[in-house]
Amino acid sequence: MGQAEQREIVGKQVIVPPLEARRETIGLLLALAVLVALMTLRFVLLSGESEQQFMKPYHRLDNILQGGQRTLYQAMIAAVPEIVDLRNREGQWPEVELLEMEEVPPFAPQFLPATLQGVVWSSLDGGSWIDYVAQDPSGGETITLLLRVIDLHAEYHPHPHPGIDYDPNEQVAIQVWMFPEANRAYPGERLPEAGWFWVVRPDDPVLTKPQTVQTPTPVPGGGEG
Amino acid sequence: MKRFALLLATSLFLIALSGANSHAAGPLKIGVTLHAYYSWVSEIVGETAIVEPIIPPGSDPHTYQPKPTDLAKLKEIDVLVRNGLGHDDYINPMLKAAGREDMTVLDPHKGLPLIAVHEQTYAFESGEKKVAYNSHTYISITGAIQQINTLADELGKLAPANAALYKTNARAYAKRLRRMQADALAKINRLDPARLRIATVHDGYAYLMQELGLKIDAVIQPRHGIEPSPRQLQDTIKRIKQADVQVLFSEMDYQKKYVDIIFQETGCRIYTLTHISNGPYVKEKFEQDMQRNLDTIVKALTDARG
Repeated sequence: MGQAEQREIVGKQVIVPPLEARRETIGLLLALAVLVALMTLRFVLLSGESEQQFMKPYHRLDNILQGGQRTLYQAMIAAVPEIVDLRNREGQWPEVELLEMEEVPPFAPQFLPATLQGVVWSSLDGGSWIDYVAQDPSGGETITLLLRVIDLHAEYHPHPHPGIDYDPNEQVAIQVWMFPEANRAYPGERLPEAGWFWVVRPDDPVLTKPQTVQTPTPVPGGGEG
Repeated sequence: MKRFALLLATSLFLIALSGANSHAAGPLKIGVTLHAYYSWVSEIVGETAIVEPIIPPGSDPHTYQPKPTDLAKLKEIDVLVRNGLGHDDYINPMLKAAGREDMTVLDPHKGLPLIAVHEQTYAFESGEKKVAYNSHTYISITGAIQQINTLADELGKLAPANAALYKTNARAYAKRLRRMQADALAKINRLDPARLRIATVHDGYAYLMQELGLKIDAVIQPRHGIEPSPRQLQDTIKRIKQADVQVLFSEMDYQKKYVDIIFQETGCRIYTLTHISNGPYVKEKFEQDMQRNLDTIVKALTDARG
């Protein structure tokens, strides 16, 4: 590089534009707005995915059950395939005596811990559904549990109906209900109105899926469900 | 010679044809991730399907590192039975690596009441807010029966011609398992277990203990692979003493040194349960291991009664 060229570069004037505070402030505000929008979007999306968004006032998560109550609850749900088999075989819902004879727990006490062997069962056949009520005259339990099995292919379902889209491959819906008092008398079909609570698993489709299908026949007397 | 060549060509053609159709027309190939699932599915399907364990016997499902041969196995499988609650998380990247993310996957715990881990007051999890569910749903009897029935139904949907057989097999299996449970309960119920304080080395037995009406007062190692630090061990010993624990259920792969320290410090009796995750995959394993667990529990409670 020659001396003349060097002198030319040294002498070159570089113009630095003055700071434009307004433009930078607008840029900063825009960035903040985008950030807030993204955070809001994330919140909305997450809340949409969260469990229990379809929880009704009469729903209770199953973690309220403790100790022997959980043992009974688990056994009630596990009994349903055999209840359904017996119904298919006999042409009617099985009564408690038959379930005990067929050694189906929790109706057969030999499959229960000693603390639950005093539980007395009764069944109430609703035609398209059946209720099994567990009462403990010994006073060992502080709640009353009820197992409701509903024929999904029947025309009429008890209130509240299962509340989710019916899977045509499923023959029945299973509901477990509880009343926070021992030896509560059977209230009939409409359990929520009588103060009973539907015990649901946190991942139960009833809590995670919106209901888009109503009962084939409207429930007499109306009411949501 | 000509006849032989014709015969050979026909045979090769038929072999090729049968090979091409074997996946669709052959028996259902069912992959399983745990020993218990191997037993359950084998009992349900009998000779009508092939049951294939995904990881070799003796591998720890919590820490398993997949091998290329496992991926090849996954490619041959029609349906997979997995835990889905964190006990066999290795399977998800394996499905992706094998290009089988579209595979039909059955989670047997569908519809099963789960035990939330956060509900229990573990010594080392105080302050932990994360909600998780106990993944050891297979170490149970009532819970196992519900899952066996679920699997029979789901597999029946995949093989409708065998659906009735699967249901019959599941019910017969359930009756045998219930008989085991009733025999154990008859003994346990005579021992007044409510007065005993029980601890386990990890939370894998919560479902089984719940079914037997036994309360777990302390859990030493909440998860596999997490060894208690000296401070945690000290805390456990303190809690065992405070809770007046008389029986500690250990397991085969739990380090003896911790069990020994606890015994020296607390005088708590120690018995070994099986996690149903060791040894060869055989149909009888679940029944055999559960019988062993039930016998051990009965013995522990009998001894503690004195």
